[in-house]
Amino acid sequence: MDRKDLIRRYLDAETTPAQERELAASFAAAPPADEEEQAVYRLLQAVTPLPTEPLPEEGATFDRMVRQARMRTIRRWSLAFSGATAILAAVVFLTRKPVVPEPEVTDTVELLQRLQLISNLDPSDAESYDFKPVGDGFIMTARFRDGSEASYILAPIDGGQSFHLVSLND
Amino acid sequence: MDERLEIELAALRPKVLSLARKFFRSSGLDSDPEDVVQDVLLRLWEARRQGTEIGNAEAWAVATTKNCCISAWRKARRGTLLPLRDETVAGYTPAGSLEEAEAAASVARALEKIPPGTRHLLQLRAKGLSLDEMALVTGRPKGSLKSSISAARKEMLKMIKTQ
Repeated sequence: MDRKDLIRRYLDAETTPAQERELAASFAAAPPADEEEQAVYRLLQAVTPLPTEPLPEEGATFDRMVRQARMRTIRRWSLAFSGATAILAAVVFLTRKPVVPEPEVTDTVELLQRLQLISNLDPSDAESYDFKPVGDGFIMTARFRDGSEASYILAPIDGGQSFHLVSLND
Repeated sequence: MDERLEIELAALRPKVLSLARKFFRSSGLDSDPEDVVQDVLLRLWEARRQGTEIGNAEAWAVATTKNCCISAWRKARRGTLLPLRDETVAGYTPAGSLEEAEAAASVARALEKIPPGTRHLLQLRAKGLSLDEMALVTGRPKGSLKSSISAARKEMLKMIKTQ
């Protein structure tokens, strides 16, 4: 292939790297014949290979930077998650149905002592006591030694600190 | 092109790109991870051409990608620009006359007017990469590379003639 053909193919980017080296070598052997060839010769000389810079060993720096970025992301997400949880908790708290506290008195002896204070009932007169939860309070049925029974409604006041006593007997 | 090298370049490209993207996202660096990919694959191409012994190509590519990423990050922080003017005319050595010095300067000016991406292609080509190899390194189709290189050469030739 003569130089004119090589130049045409070079400008159309159809030459191989080997053919481009051949073209450059041809100018070294025979100087450019005309203005066109002179311009191509300059063009060939102008574009030099991309320099390859030496690389320092930076693997540890890379790993550290990526790790730090990951930690930042985790912290950011944790913060966002905590915030969302707090907001959700606040919404649940503000919109929840009020819960009526259960009477806290579960100790029968204590209950009977209180009962004695507000009535003339003597706990020692009864053979047994039966407590049936009803609503917030209890129905208490006392069975006496003589076989008779007496029932009372115990309704808690102040969260179970004290009681209303209503007799269900005649 | 060496078939083994072709397979290697094609196989490593996604991994290198993924690693570079991950780093650029992490560091907040506003650069194109493709630049790192090209740098790494070009280094692999050179190493293979020079017959450098590379045991595990993937491990080598990962280590080189990390180094290239940090290098790009440091350059961005320093605001360093590539010394294109000096490097691109380095191969032209005028005999010393004023006329020849002016001719060299005009060629340098012509090269500077070429868009950086296209100039980069010309420099890759000057390294001796075939179109197939360039397509693998840059991730661009061969036809597109060919037309870009041809247009850049013709444009430069026009500028050199008119200056």
